[in-house]
Amino acid sequence: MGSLLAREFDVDTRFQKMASRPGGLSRRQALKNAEVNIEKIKPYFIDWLDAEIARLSHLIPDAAGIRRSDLSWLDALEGASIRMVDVAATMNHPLANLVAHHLHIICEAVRRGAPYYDDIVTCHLDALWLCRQACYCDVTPESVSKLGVDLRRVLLLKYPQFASEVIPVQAVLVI
Amino acid sequence: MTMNRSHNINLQGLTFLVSDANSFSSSLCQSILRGFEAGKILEVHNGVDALKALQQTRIDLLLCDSRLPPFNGFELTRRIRKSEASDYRTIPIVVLTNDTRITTIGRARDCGANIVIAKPMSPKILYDRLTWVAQTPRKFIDAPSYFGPDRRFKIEGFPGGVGRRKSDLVTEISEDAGPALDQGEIDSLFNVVRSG
Repeated sequence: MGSLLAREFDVDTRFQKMASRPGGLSRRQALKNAEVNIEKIKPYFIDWLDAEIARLSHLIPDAAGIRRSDLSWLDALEGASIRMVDVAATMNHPLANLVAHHLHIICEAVRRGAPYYDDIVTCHLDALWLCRQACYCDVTPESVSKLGVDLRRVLLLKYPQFASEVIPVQAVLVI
Repeated sequence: MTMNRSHNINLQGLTFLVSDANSFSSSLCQSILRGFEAGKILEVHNGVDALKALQQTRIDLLLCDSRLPPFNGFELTRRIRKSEASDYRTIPIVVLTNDTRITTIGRARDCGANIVIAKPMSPKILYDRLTWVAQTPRKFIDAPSYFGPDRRFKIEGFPGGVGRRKSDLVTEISEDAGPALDQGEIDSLFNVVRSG
């Protein structure tokens, strides 16, 4: 019976003690500094995106070549698409975020048994290549809306059951 | 849980461990922490190295990605909380995740995470959650099936004395399901009521 009892105790971690000390930066200054630091690593985002796209390009199988028994490529594609969604959102790159989100939806669809269309994945990889071009890095949301709408149409054509999970283009563009 | 406190936190002299397989995400997290004037930031890209770092260095707070290989961030958290003889068993653990389904958040909580932050993470979100961890003391629970910050929530009420509770059942690791939560809803799952 005794072994089923729980013990409740106080924990005073070094983090709590040290973080509560007076001094240090104001919240406002800390956030400002962090934003400045994020700006400093933005130039490396495109290099990182290049490496991820190149890796994915070698990873994507032909539709005829996929085997349901080995979905390691799908795991890798899904992991990469999620990473791109995260990073692109933080780096304020709405188009890359949109395309990566689509790739993630495709992965989910295939994992749930939907057919795999390599042309749709290739189309989105091409869109990612476009995203990394300098002329698309600083585009205004309005200037990419046509591309976003078209990608959404292509995706929903093949995976209409995921309509509710596809972010409306306007919502993506205002991230 | 009040996230928008006016309090500042002083991170100078503190050591953070950032565990994320994604090098760019890790760099982002470190950049944000450096902006907050964190004392020292260590970086690892897998759970094995995270455990080694914890054994070799005094880490004050761990930030780990939920998809950290070779196990995952939940398993890393569980192993840390289970390491009875270690000095780091009670360190604050912040789990970062892009999967915000309620089962995932619950899983992080049941493994002993102090709080979960949804990715993509902004400096504001990280600062306010670190502030909450620093300024909102939570008791620890040492039970046969759970070790970690108290998980009891307002909506569940308090049991009549501290003992075994239904929620102390061993967590089954199963397929995730359920709708995604926003950061406010995630926070509410970690909202321990200490005063009635």
